[in-house]
Amino acid sequence: MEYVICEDNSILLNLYSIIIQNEIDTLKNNDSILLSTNNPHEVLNVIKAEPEQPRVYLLDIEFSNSVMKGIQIAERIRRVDRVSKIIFISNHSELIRFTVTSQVEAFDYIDKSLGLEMLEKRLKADVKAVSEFSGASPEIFQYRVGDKENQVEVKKIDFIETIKNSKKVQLHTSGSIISFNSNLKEIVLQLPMLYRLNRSCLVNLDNVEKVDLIESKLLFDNGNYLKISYAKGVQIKFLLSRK
Amino acid sequence: MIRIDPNVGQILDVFAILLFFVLLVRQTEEFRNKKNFIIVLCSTIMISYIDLKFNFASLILLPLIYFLFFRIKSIGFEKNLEYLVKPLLLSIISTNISGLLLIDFFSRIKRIDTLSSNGFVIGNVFLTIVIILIFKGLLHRVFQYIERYIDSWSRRLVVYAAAIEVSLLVIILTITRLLRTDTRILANTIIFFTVTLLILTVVFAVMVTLRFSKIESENEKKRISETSMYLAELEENYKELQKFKHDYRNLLISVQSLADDGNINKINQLLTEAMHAERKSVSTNKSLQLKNMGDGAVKGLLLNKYFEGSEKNIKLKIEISEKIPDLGNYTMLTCRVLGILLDNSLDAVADTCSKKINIAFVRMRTDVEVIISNVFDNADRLDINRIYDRGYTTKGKNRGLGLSNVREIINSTDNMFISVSVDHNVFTVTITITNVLHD
Repeated sequence: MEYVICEDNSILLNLYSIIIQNEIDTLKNNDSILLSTNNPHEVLNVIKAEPEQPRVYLLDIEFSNSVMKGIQIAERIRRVDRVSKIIFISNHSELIRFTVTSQVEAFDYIDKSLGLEMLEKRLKADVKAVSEFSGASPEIFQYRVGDKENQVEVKKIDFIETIKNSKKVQLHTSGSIISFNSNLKEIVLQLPMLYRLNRSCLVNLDNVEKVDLIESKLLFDNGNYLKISYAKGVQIKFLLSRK
Repeated sequence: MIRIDPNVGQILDVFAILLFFVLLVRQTEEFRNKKNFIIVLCSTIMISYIDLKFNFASLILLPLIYFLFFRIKSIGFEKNLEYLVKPLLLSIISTNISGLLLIDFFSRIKRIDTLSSNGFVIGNVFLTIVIILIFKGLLHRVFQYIERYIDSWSRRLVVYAAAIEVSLLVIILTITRLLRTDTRILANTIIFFTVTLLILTVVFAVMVTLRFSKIESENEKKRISETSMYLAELEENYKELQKFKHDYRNLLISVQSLADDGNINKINQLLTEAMHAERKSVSTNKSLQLKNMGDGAVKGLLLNKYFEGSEKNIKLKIEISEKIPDLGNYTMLTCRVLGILLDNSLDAVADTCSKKINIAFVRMRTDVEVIISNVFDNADRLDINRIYDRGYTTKGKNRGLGLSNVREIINSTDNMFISVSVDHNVFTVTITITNVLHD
């Protein structure tokens, strides 16, 4: 992926560029720095020119003349592009970390005041994480909570079940349980690869590690489990053995 | 006992109906238009004609006509009821009282002929108007005095009570007219009935309002004590800041002296130390960021938990960087959910070394997102699969009712959502309250 860096302090700007370039060189992948600037308008121009190109944006949150500039740029990016990674750098000492990460789905939020050493470490880790992402773009499942569009990688979904007496469903991944408004009919259309266990549950069989017929449980790779009927267990065991 | 000439009764009935309409249209300008004027004329003629056949018809027809033609749609049922009940009550009471007084007077002088019939009519009209004026003046005085005890709630109570009174009066009058009871008994009943009920209503309304204001003042006291705690905390922070500023000056002076000596190494060391010190003091100064919380109840809860945390040496870092307005219908639910979640977090971090809970209120376009995250100790023992199970806890017995309750509360409403996640040893709960903001 291409990196776009924006920071109004030119010394820091150079520093970020050097850190990132070094890390890219050590990782020896196809990533590169597209733009490194202290003018936010140049970043906007890049977005306008090729809006859907996935990139990594490294943005300073506060510019000397306008405090929230970095967030505004991020909002502009998110309006046209939901895939790009946004990394914020700030010396707000974590005061608005949750706000910005949640509002524009930031990839990381680095606190400048932690010192240069820490900053370098975090940046390097981010570059590495990004390079792992930039392989084949993963299949994404999108869902809405209120007016916010969220996404989760399909391969991370273990199962989706309805919640009794409500219009909501509950999505289980290895480390999270998320609820949102939807129904299984709609989800099946989006995710035809899921197995319909019964009227209230869809299962991602790719993540099933084992069928426990004695306890009547589906065990997933990461320790999640789901209670099922014996008959379904036999059926799923058969399906898995054919794969 | 005397009998009144039926014609006299008829004329007085027409007068009563007209009186009602006059009192009605006097209340608001919206009633005073051509259409209503014609309706008044037509219905007066019509009702008095029907009254000839059924003596009690007017009492039932007047409210009916009001709701058919006069009702103002834009002001809601209660206000309309008020507009109807006031003139109805006033006209019924005043005409009845004046009629009864006059009957009493005439039966004493024992002269009923054509002349005295005219006198009866004129006397009745005159007396009715006098009674209305007295009533109005009296009510005005009374309400002027008790107005400060009456809020919109008790006002509504009075209106409803008055409506019930009117209906009861109408029923009693209808029955007595049907039964042709002695007018004297009727008179006593009506007067007694009305006065008692009115007094009872007003007393009741005032009592209820007083009770409410007492509750309010208790809440106020609690709020004040919380505010003073908050102020103390602010003061503490301010002192900290002063100290920090002082230290900073000293630091600058020492750096300058070192620079004069050209001791770069020493300067470097000093600056690194200063960096650490700054981080510490900044974090203590700004952890309580509550000025943007516009919902009083939620703010109170956050403050409460903040102090509960500080007693246990736990730092609650509250991030509200954009104004969060009053959550309206969701205030109660949010408080309940937040209370449980924060208790859980306080429990969870008590044994950890970080002792920090992050709380953030994030403004989305029409939603508010509440994020609570904390580090927990037994990473390998937290089973996210069972997190919503009743009784599941990593903290021993009798503890694990929290999250299952939270989920129950949230799933009882369509506009709130919860997601939980565990990443390494950080546990995060995100509550989304949708459609509470208006953009």
